[in-house]
This record gives sequence, structure tokens and C-alpha cells, in this order.
Amino acid sequence: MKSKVIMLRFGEIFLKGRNKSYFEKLLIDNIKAKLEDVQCEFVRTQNRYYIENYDENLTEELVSRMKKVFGLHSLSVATKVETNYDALDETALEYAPDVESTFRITVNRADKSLDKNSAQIAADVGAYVLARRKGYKVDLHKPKIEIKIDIREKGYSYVFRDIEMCAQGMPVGCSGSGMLLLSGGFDSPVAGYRMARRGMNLCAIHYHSFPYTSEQAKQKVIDLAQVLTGYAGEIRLFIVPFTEIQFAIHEKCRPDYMITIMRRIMIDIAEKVAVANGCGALITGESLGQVASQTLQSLTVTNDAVSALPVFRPLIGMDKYEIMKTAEEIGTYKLSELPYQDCCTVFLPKNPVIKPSLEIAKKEQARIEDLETLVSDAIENIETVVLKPRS
Amino acid sequence: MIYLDNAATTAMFPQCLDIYKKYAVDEFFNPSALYAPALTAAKAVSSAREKIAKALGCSAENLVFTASGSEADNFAITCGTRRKKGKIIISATEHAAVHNCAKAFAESRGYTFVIAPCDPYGAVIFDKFVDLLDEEVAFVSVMHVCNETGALNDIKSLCAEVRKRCPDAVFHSDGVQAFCKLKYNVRDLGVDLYSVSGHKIHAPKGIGALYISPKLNPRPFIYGGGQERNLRSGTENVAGICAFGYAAERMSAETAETFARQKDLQKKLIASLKAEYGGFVRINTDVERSGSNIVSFSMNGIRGEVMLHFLESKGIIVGTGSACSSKKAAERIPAALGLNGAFAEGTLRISFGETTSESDVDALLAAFADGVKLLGKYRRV
Repeated sequence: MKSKVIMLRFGEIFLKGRNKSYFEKLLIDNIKAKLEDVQCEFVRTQNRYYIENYDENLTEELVSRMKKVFGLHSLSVATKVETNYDALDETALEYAPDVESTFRITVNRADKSLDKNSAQIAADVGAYVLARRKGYKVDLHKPKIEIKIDIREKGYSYVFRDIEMCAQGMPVGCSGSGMLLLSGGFDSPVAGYRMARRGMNLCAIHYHSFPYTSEQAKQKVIDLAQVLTGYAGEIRLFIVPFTEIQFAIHEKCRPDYMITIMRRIMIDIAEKVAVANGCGALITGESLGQVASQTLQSLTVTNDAVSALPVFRPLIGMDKYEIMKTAEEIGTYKLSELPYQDCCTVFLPKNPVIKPSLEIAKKEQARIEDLETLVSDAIENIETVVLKPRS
Repeated sequence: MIYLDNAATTAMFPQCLDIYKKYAVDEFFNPSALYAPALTAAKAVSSAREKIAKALGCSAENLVFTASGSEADNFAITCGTRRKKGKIIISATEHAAVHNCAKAFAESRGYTFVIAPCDPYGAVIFDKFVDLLDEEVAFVSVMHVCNETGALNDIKSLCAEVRKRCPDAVFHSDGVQAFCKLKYNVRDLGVDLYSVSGHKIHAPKGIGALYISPKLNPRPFIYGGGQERNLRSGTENVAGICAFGYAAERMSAETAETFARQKDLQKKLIASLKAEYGGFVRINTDVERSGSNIVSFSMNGIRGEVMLHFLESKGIIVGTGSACSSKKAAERIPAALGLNGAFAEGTLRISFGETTSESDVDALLAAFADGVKLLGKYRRV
């Protein structure tokens, strides 16, 4: 008996005390949801999970899926063998490529019924490998290759080498729901990813300004949200028709305050939709000082338009470079890069105010006398798109 | 829906679909095979080749089928040169298939890449072009009709100058927007290479052709089984080729008539735009020196894409310029036309098709007026 398994280690929830079972149940549910369409066995032990008895051709696919499950710390593709010394020798040798290297064997032994202890087994397997690989040298401190043997109870062992990091974080669902303000840019998808990583379910809201923004721009946002479902599970995306409001701002308000007021109205709508859909927080991709609308003063004036919910800005202290790097890692970069206009850029005034005053912003906003009607009309005409993860 | 983006692509003639189906489903055979039905397919390819050659005014053996106009351009540029060094000259408003390919080819092979300037209507400026010519010139590519503005280049005269001043140079013209829309004859133009495409003349997408002068001996573009005189291997797209042949025959029979009818529409549209929107609209198409089916203009302070979406919401489909244009091309072309400031982003391209009528132009003008009324309030000037 010899088969490939995927060994999963969980991270932070390990630290949880009496609530651990709650977090673990969520994590297991999320893992199982990713395995729904795969014939396999999910095995739970005290401190690890294993995916076993699957079609080995799917190894790469399953590894990539597991790397997107928040709450998992790392994984290894291992070989499961019956515990006998010959099998351990042979399997360990399979993990030792035939090129000059330094190595060590590390044994972890839960099965105390064996006649040798961990150090003896490691030495014996090491000797077996050393005799069969030219140019191998033992290095216990900084080996290039470390082959690990995990001897479990019930007569079987796992042999593996590489530990691949997973997405870490907390299982999605343990931190309530957040409403992500999703534009077509690089930042907001990363912000959504970050909060999903802290266990949040996501809803998303997008402002669409036809004819200023195209169907393609809308589709791009739907595609971005679809990528996020790979991490966050199902996402409801609310698309708000925003042109009338932009016209009103353009007609009634000072040009340099146009963006400030637009963002105040956007976040107000987002909060209303969030509350109506059971979200306990708003999430934005703002990063301090990145553009005129993200200075401390601008953020203060925007924040004033929120009445009750906390606003999470996970990127507030990140540089653009770091954000782009994450975007690349999570697979949103290529979509965000598509050159469609989004609603923030179409009415861009020549000189947007960098340090807006709350008083002026409120006064200017008050010039739109029918704002309440415009906002409720926009909310009434929201198009909702429900996106489900494509495993 | 009124479709006025025929320079981007056209609807296939229903007859082309019938022909396509015939050679894709019933007579689906590989024309190179040795059994009798394969001969039917081979004969159909020959017959289509004859039709397209006739429309171009060349002999059938001088045509090589490709999978697109872009491929024909790439073939011409990368396989057509005789000289191993020197200058490659292209015009400033060439399609990206020529511009990007010529630039990359020149850079990788050590040629000097030279751009011949255009006038504000997108046509090569003759004197400035002639100034660039010397014995160092290895390759020249000037499009026949500009896909952005409809500008007509005098290929015959440009080519004659090249022959006079650069005897070793190879002359290519991208004729994708001119084929079957103007009356001409490639032999008379004097070019060495000439690209055409099927889907701009109501044939299916995925079929194009390159005319190769008998004086030229180009390198193969695709190596393989030796199809297309060993120059462009790959099993022939029999269905596409036959449909292309039908469309070319039909369109070229109607060229003079269609040209006259579309010229009237073009004149009417340009005159109305000038009369109604004088300072706000800049016309990029010179009615006297252009093909008949394209009108390009730029608005001061309304983005082309925004007006496009507005017209789309009224059921009228227009273009903003090259549909395949990347962000880079979106900057290159306005710069070549000397468009700047608020005009630069404000270009719309209207292109007529076989069935475009005067009432379509009227509907466009009416919807455009509504668009200007609404969007004009929010201009970025």
C-alpha cells in the first residue's frame, strides 16, 4: 500500500481556546466546499487534516484549491505507506533527487510500539539513502534537502519533503459580513481579499455610470468579484446606477469638491445597502495619501458620511507596490489592468481639493436638493449579481 | 439596431454561410488528399482564388491565403525584405498589425525604423515621404485606405517614387479597408505585397490573403506541409476561402455603385456635422481624398467612448477607431493626426456598410444631437 495524500496544517485557530471547535467546523466546511466535486476522502486528526484516496492527476489542482482556503497554515504532498522499515527506506529514497546535495532525515514518531526510537530510524533511513545517492552528505543543521517521516499510530506513516505555505488567516465566515466598495482598480479587490482572510464573508458594491462607463467595465468588476469568490466563497455584487447622481453633482457642486462629494454619496449608499443585507462593516481599498481623495482630510470628510458601521481600510498603510504584488499573487492584477474607465475617473475635475473641509463639503452637497430621492432611486434600481465560487 | 462600425467588421452574407457550411460539413475534405472528393475541395479553393485575384487585378498564383489581414501584414513585413539592413519606413497611421510588427522586426534585425508623417486627415504627406527615400531603404509599408480616418493614399505615386529612389526596396500596402471598396488593380499600383481580409467585406472572420508580386521571392512564413506554394503551410481553410471568394466577386461587381452611394452619405454626414457643430467637432476625414465608407471626427470635451455608449443606448453602433486598438494605439493615432487637448480622446468613427441608407445617417445625426445636448453639459474642457 502506497498512495499520495495532501497533508493540511491549520494556523491561527490553533490558538483558540474553548471556541476552537467553532472555528474548526467553519474551516472544515470551507475545505469540504472546495472538494465538493472531487472524489476523495477527508481525514481529520487531532492536529492535521488529510485529503486521501483521490485521483493523483488532480494533486496540483487540489493543492492550488487548498492554498486559497483561509485558516490553513501550510500543506505538504506526502506519500502514505505502511509502517515497516523497508517501505520507509524506499519511500524516503524517492524524495531524494539524484544530484549532489546535503540532506537530513527527520522522524516524528507517534507510534511508540516500534522497537527503534526516532533518532535510530532517522539514522537507518539516512544510511540507506546515503548508500544510494552519489554526492550526498549529511548536514543536520542546514540541509538542502530535508525528508520528513511522520510515523502515526495504526500502522502507517507519511513521508514528505516540501512544506508549501497556504493563505493563512481565519476561516471565512467567522468574522461576519463586510460590504466591499469594489471599483475596477487594483486596490479594492486586494482589500476584499485581506478582509476575507480575516474571516469575513463578502458582499460587494459597484457604481456604474452608463454611458460614461461601458458594459465591459461592468463585466470586469463582475470578473474581479468572481476571482474573489475563490477565496471568500459566494459574493453578492450590487451594481448601483450612478449617472444621475454624477450629473447632479456636476451641475450643482463646486468642481474641486466633486470627487469628495461623490465619495460621500457612494459610501452613504454602501452603508444603506450593507445594513439592508446584514453586513456589519464597510471595506474600502483606500491607502493613505495615494491620491487626492485619500488624504487624511479627504478620508475624514468621506468617513463623516457613514453613520454607524465601522469602515475597514486594510490597505491604509500599504504602498502601491505592495498592493500590486498582492494583486498579482491573488490573480486580480491582470483584470484590474484592463483599460476600461471606471466611474471615479470620468468626471475628474482638473484640480480636485486635496484637503477638503467638512463644512464646505456638507454645504456643497446640500445644494443637491433632491439627493435623497436620487439616492433612493439608485438603490431601488440596483442590479444584483450572485457569484458562486467555481471550485 | 443601426450598425455603423463596418470598418471594424461586417455581417457575413447569408450566402457566405451557405458556402461555408457546404465546405465545412458536406465537402469537408482536405484538398491535399488523394481521393476524388478532395479534388472537389481543391477545385473550390482554386476557383475562389481566381475570384479574389480578379477582384485585385492579379493572377491567381500570386495570392497566398492567410488567417487574417493582420497575418498577411506580418507575413509581408517579416518575410518580404531583400536587403539585410537599412531602413524600414511605415506611415504614421498604419494599423497596429503593421506598426507593431515592423517596429519589432526592425528592432530585432537591426533595421532603422522610420515613420513617415501624415497630414491631419491621416494621409502620408507626399513630399515628406519622398524626403525619406534613399538607397538605404529596405522596406516600405503604406496603407491604401486608413482604417482610422478613411484617408486615401496615392499608392501608385508613392510606389513609383520608391522604385525611382530605392531600387532594392520592397513596397507593401495594407489594403484591408480598400479591397472591393475602390476600383484599382494591384499590378497597376506597382506594389510588391498587398494585404486583404475577408471579414471586412461580409466574408467570415479568420480568412485573409496576401498578394505577392511575381518579382518577389519571399521566405516562407509558416513551415510545414508545403501548402500555398510552400510559403504558408497549414491545411487550407477551404470553407473560409470559398466564402471569401463569393464575397469578393459580389462586392467587386458592385464597387462603383456602392462607392457612389456611400460617397453621398459621407458628404452629407460631414456637411451636417460641420454645419451644426462647427467649433465643437473636428472632421478627420477629407471627403476629396478618402474612401467612401468612413467618417472620423473628434469632439471637444466629450470622450468618444462616452458618446459611443450613448448612441449604443439609442440603438446605433459606431466605433471610436481601431477596435483592436490597445491603449498605446489609442495615443499613437491621435498624435499622428495632430489631435490634442480635449479633442484627443473624443474621436468617433462612423463606417458604412452595404446596406447603410440615408435614413440611417439621419437617425445617427438625430441621436448624436441628443447626445451632444445631454453630454455637452458635462464636458471636460
